[in-house]
Amino acid sequence: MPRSVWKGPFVDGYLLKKAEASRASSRNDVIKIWSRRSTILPQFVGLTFGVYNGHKHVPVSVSEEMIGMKFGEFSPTRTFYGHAADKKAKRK
Amino acid sequence: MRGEVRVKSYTADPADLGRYGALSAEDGRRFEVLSIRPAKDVVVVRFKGLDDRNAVEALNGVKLFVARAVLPPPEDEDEFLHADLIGLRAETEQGEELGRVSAVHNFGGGDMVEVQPAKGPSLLFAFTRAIVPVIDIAGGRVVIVPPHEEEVPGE
Repeated sequence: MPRSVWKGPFVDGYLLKKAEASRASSRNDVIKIWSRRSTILPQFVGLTFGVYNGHKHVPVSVSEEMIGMKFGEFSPTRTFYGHAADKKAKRK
Repeated sequence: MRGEVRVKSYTADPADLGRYGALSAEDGRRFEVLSIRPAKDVVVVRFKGLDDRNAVEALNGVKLFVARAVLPPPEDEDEFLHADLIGLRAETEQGEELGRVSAVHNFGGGDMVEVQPAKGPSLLFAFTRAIVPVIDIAGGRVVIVPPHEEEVPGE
């Protein structure tokens, strides 16, 4: 059963405060968080979080299409390295 | 029965396996792709000159490669092949060595480079102009400006 709409999305309170403070300071910091369960809100867009995966903090740059998903979805706990092949990375 | 083989493709689009000409095996043999079609998490390939089940059975477990030179060059100056980045020396702006680039990931939250120091666990850095301002592939190095990290203690 999905979460009741009247409750609104779940976000750990301290995360919300930290994001607001970081946005106000307008510095390009990485906010290290352990809260994988928190929902990504519109006010997080543009910020970079380091989401803990049990080993390290994975950098997650929040963009508009990520709103509504959970932070944990972008920080896998198991990593398959695979092969480089013809894959490309784009520097932002 | 028709001489088709299942190949695990690591290219960005699995069907691109046939785009780069003949594939080479570790022992020097070369295989030309005649047809390719996707199937679940593999691609089903028919190679030139291998027409029956017995001929392709000998290929079981063979690793196939393409030369770096065959891959098309990146489309703009901020686009890099993973193969070019992996192995570069990562250093700070002051020239201190951080380690070597061991992998490039993208888990949905943007590209990132993994740097493996000589000792200790690997480090992850977002692949942005602010954090990775210099990429000198010819010189074999990348400059990394580690971002300031703010901790948010848990509950």
